[in-house]
Amino acid sequence: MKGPWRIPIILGIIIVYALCWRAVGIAPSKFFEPQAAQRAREIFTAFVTPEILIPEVSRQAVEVPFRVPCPPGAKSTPEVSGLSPQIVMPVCASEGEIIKVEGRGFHPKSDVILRWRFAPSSQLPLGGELVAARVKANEDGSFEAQIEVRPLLAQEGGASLQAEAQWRTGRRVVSPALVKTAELMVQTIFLALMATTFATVIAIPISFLAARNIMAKGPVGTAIYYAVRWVLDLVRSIEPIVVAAIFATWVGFGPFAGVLALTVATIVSLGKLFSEVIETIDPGPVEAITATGANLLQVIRYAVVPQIVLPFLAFIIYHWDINIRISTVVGFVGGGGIGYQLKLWIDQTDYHKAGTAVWAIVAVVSVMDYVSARLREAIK
Amino acid sequence: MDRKRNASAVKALISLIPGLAYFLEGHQTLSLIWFFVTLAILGLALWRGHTWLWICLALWWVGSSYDVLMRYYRNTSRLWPAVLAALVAFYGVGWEVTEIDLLAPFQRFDKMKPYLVALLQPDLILHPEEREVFQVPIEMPCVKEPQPKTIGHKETITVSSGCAWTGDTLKVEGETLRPGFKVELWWVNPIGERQRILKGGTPLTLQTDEHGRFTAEFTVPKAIPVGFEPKPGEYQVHTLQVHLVRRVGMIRPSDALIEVALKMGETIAIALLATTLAVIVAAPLSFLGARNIMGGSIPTRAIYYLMRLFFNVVRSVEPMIFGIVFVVWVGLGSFAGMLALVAHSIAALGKLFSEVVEHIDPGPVEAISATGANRLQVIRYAVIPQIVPDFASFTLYRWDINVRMSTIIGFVGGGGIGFRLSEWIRLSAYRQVATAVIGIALVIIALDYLSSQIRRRIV
Amino acid sequence: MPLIVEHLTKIYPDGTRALNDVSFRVEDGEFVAIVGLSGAGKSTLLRCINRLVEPTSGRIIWNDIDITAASPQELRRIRRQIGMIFQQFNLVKRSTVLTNVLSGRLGYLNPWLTLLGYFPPAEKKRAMEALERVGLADLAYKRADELSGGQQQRVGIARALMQEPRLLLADEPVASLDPVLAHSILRYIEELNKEGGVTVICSLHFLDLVHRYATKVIGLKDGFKVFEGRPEEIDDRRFKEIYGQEAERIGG
Repeated sequence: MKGPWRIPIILGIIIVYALCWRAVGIAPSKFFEPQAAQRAREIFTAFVTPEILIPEVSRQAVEVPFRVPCPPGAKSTPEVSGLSPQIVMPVCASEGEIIKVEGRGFHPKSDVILRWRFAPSSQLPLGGELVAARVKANEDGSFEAQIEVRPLLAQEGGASLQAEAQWRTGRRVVSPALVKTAELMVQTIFLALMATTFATVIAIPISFLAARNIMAKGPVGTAIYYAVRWVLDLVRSIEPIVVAAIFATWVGFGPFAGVLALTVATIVSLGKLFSEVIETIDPGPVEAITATGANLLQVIRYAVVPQIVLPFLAFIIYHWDINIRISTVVGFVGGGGIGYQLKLWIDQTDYHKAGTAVWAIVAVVSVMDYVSARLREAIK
Repeated sequence: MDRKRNASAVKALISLIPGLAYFLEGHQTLSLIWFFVTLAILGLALWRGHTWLWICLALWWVGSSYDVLMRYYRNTSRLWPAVLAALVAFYGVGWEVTEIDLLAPFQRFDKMKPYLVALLQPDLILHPEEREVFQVPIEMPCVKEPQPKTIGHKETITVSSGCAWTGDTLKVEGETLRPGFKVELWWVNPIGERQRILKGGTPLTLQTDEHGRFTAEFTVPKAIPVGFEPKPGEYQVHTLQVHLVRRVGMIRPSDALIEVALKMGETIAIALLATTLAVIVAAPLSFLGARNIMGGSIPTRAIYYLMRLFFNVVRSVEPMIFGIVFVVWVGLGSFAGMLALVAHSIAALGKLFSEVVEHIDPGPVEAISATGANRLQVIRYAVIPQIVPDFASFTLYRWDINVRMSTIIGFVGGGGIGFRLSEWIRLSAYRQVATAVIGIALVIIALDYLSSQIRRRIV
Repeated sequence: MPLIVEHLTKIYPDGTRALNDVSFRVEDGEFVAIVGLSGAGKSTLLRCINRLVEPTSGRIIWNDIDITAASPQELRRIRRQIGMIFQQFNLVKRSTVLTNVLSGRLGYLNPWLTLLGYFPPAEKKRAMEALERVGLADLAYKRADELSGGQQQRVGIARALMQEPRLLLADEPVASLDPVLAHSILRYIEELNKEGGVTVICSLHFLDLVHRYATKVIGLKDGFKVFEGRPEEIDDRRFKEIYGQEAERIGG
């Protein structure tokens, strides 16, 4: 940058950056707004302490059938139900009555939830359950509670009262979030594997059409060559995420949409790379094998395939690696893989679980990165 | 004799453990692959619990033993039975867990067709129109004797019957309307769902003659709202709308086109700022992650390993994942999207840059140091001239990637064209989606071309 | 059964006239050297004989069969009886030596089985014998690119041996090798010619090699045949006709 253009160019750059600054709406103060800072702290503390092991919770429950109102002849007097643990309560009552529920033999100091449960036939909201009371058992494992008989209980199928005790055993177990993450990570890896495989099968014939040394021998071939190249460039400019979002409406929300989107992206990319490999093969062996009287298929099998198979394999492994990265996020729009679950957890502010997913992604992507580099080195 | 038998027994034993033979022959990588494949098939069988997976595991095991025995006794390798078993296991599970349904693309092709049609006719231009609407109430079904119905005083619309039922044919006539206008017929049901009246599958379009007259016959479309069917003896009131349409003024770009252009600008701004900020941060950090600079003492080496770890961990997290985090932190919008790209780019560029710094020629450093220059002078005159071309080329490469990424970062709320595009996809606004997709393709192809030209100049 | 070349002309699509009305006759068992400057048309002439290059006009008759008029199927049948070795060896570098040698036999074998990579054991034995003849039996399972240039050319000869050729075309077989190795390669070819009775047509650069091995010489210049005769007939005048006025004769 010299001469009279120096100042206008610098001014131009400043103006471009100023415009961009405004368009993007950069506001560093947003980092430190009390709410934002609070959320950031939550996210980061959660991410460094992902949910891996959680305290084990044991449960025990007793369930007693209950009728509202009392059938003729029955009386609203306390009866003992269950052996150990057991609860003492009337087995019927009329609407609005307050009944006394006593429990014995429960786990000491456990949290007890008393909930009404309805027969599955009745069309009720709340999943057929209604929490009546929460109490804590005392040291000898007994409790006492007063609960109201709600009008809702006057159901045809009848209802029952369940007393469930929960307590921590002091042991720690693998968290369900970790199990879910592991399952979805495996799904993610397979999503990439299937997409890479499908794409390879389709990209191989396409790559021959996009190879100059094969196609550019006559006007028709040259036209096909340019057309294929053009389509590859066009499709390559659309990110797989966009394709996945569109495919999700086509084949439905789920991993298959992700497989298809990644397949499209990989076909395009592999098609181009493969065709470059084909363009750089050594024509000598082709000539030599042709000279032995071999037919066209034999020439391809013995002179072309040995030259391209290892470079192709290296590119396939490389793309499997790339596809694993992409399939961790393809779920944001198309469903499937770890991405969808991760977004769900963040939307539900379950940041500890989201942290589990993120660390799993980091681990798997890094390992695959390393493995793919090693494999590509090994097959050189 | 005994020794021979012992040797055979040892060989048989070796063949029973997948990968052991390779390990003993010194092929560590192959034996590791064997070990992990065995473990993977076992894991899959435990996870999915299918009988055929256990069979595959057995075949894999028998196949690898067979290969080992063939190599010991026949001096040839027979890998295909084992490889086939492993492939069946992996692809079988892959097929299952990714829920592949090859029929779905065909069975649900009707869902995709509008996109394909729209790609051929994206929403690019808008022709402003003048539109006059006449409304004729129609009772459905007929509970009284059908009677012709006329509305208006000077300009009149007459329908052959004021009541009808789905599938009936009605005749509609207009008198002394404005001449030379296009006429469209629309049907509106009681809950406000509007549909264009078709004839032979295409929209029915007419023209008023020089006296402002038109005549049309049409079939009453299916318009009774599901779940609101009229009870016997009752009717509901639908509306026949007669639209008189004329194009006025100049054509102009459609709203979608303007929106795409504006948002593409924002998208490029995100990419430009993200790349710039990432370079500003990554360039100094890369020196901390370069072995030849930091390898001197134990504390600096610790910093080197920490930087390496940081680069590798952050690099493996896709920008979109950073996107959802930053959206929670600083709110929806381009700022969050830009930060996500910055975070990923710092790590990716930092790693590439530090490799450049590691590969500089130590000769000039020595030479400039020998002249008595201080450390900063050495960096300025011996290091920077060596690294600038590579830094520039990696920056351009990152810029290419960031332009692509910024088109999708909006899918998680990070602003730019992606945000609008994801909305349009959700709303099934096919023609707007097509406009955006074509816009993205054009801009990316143009910028790719531009950066390849720049790269040719500087490298 | 001689090889008869009549009025052979080759014009490439870009207008280059590589061969102009070349005619000659080669009797069975001869060792013919084709000499001339680079670009004189030596490679084109050799490649026209097995139609790796399609002649523009003229005829090539071998065993009373018109090669230039052969159908693709006939052509493959003819080609499998004509061995060829190349300046750049043209081995498949990523395949094993054995596979490279076996591929010389492709024209004789069931195409479908060979596509699956299957070769009958008898053919493998024959390939090992061919490798033994060129002294490379212990390298059979190495990848071709692990071999030195001289070894690669010997693999090329073994590949040609697999064809049990009655005619061997050699396109500058020693031009990419050390002079020391040149004799060892040419001695294998001479052995084939003398003991196996294989007709050899070989393009060569160095006149001393021509004098040592050839029984007949054909000189080409700018696509025209400028000499045909015995090696010892090449005197200074003829040498300048073939190689141009500025050329200096050195050696042989």
